[in-house]
Amino acid sequence: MRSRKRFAACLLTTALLFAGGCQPKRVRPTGWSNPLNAMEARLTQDTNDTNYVLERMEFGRRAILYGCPLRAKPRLMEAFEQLEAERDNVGAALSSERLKYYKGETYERAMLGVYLGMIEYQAGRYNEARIFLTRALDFDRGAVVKDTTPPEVGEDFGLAYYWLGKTYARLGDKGNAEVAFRKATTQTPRKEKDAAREREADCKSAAAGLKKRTEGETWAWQTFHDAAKKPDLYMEDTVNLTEPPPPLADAPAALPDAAPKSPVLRTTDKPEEFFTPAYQDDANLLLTLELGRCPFKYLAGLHGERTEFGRPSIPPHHVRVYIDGHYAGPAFQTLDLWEQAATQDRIGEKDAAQTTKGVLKEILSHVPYASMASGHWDVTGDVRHWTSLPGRVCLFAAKVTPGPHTIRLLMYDVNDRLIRRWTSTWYGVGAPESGEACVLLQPTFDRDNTLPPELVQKAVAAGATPGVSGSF
Amino acid sequence: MPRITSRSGSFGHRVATRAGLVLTLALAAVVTGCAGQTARMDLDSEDDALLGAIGSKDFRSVCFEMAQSMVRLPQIQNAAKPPTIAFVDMVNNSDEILNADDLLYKMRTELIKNSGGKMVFLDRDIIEQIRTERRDKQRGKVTSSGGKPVYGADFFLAGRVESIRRSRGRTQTKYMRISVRLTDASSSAIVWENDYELKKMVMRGVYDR
Repeated sequence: MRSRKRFAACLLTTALLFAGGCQPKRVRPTGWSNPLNAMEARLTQDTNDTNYVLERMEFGRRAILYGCPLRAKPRLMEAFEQLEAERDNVGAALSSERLKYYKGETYERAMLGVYLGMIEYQAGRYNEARIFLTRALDFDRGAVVKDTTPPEVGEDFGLAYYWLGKTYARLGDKGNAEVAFRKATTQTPRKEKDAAREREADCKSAAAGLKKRTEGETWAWQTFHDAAKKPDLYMEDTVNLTEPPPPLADAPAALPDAAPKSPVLRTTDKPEEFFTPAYQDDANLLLTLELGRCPFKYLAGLHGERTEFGRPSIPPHHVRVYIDGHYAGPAFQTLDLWEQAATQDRIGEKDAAQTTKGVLKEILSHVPYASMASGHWDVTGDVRHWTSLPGRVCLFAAKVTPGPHTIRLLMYDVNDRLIRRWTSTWYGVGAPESGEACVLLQPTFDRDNTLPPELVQKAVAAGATPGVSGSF
Repeated sequence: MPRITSRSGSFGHRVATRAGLVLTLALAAVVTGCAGQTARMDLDSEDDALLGAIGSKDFRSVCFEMAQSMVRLPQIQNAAKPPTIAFVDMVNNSDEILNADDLLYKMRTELIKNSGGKMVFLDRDIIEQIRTERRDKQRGKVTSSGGKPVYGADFFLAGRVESIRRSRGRTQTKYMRISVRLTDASSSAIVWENDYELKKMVMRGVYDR
């Protein structure tokens, strides 16, 4: 009798809650074959959810990479709209920073504006593109907090300036287009010491990577291409990569499988020509190359109350573009998100608040009774970030003969040595007769080295790890 | 036996009380939190939660001010017959996502409401439908109550929205200027122009990024 009444009370409560709008969100299990559907169904609909913006940023980026910019746009717009909304973040101020409403670092907000600008540009809505790209630049200006920081830190988002230059050119505003293109070449001002230290680390890492890679290639060649000694592991199409890679100075003008005639009608290797309205107006093929991973975050401090940026390892430093086997020019680096993260001023008040919480927690942990409470007090920083962003962005534009082309990218490390496994190829990339084709490409390690399943089994049996992308 | 009855009655009472409590709590939750809420707001209230964006107050102020200024023009007040006015374009050169033409539509509404018939607005948005209708009338496909010429414009109404936004750290300032002008359609002379300026400053929270 008692349990029946309780059950009835529970049922009634649940019914009332449902009627009031508290029922769980209904998810329609249709179209799961498209991963975007699953991702989209899981997006929070609550604009007050602290991950509302971040989830939309990640979804938008995935949709762009899957070639669905029109699907990305509404979600990125939803995220963009929330960047202006005021949030009190009381929870984050008192406890863990993770409780704050995440709106992104200055460079993440700028990238959001750039992606929306690129989508609008490609849809021919140039005024809307201008608005988003201008806002992207404004977000980047938020990186300057201290009076001692050079103002160039807030004017160095080259990718936004580049697209803004193209947009102004389309709007017929040549004066602003020229200014924007000129600013697209602005170098991020780094401290000499930091830049030199990073370069030195890159050089050492590249040399060590080359040594390790050569050892691996030698082992692979001996293991998989010795029909006499190891017939079970023999792979017919194994390429011999044991020789030292050629330097950038010896880069070929044409690849062995080049077409009889070069399709390139106009190209340049000079940035001062590349970043001009006249050149960009002439080009009918524009490649945006996104390399590596974005900076990551990690916790530091006594109780993990501080958030620091980590520098990702991105081996390619020079990109040579080949079209139908013929050299078509270099890709110009216009954005390095690590440099954006490293030069972004820290918010002094936030750091002070986090440090105070950490110190207070430490003191309380030594006070009798209070230590029990302090053990449960979470003062950790926030390591959330837009994980799917690239680390570097390079641009290539040229005038080529209309029609489909094969694009091959050859990558060189900081020591000007070819990184063979970073060579990436795309087939059937179309160039139009009029207008331009804007193509977003993501070269990756071993992109051109796909093994069929039976060979993967063979490689694993021999102790190799195919499919694992190395940072070298 | 009576003792048992008494115990069971007491238990029943307790359950009823608990169920009542649960129900009350559930109802309170539904009424206060879960069901969301909609409230009617003053049209001129500030949209505090939206930093820097042009709000309904600014939008309405611009249109009222412009309409008031325009209706006092001698070219309109002293005209022998009401001048005809056509919209051209409201160019959005700001960094704000907005449908700039909406400003002109609101202005038109205010002018029609308050000018006492001293000006006539031409609906060029549906000019194609008007032409089709006239053709059908001329061909006798539809009834006609006598032909009237399509009015030409005596004046063109156009405008621009411009903005300057500056950020440094947690501080952001935004300046916006909305200008509207009336141009004589035959001489291209600008007979009237007015603007509305606003500047906002936003200080972001410590934990904003």
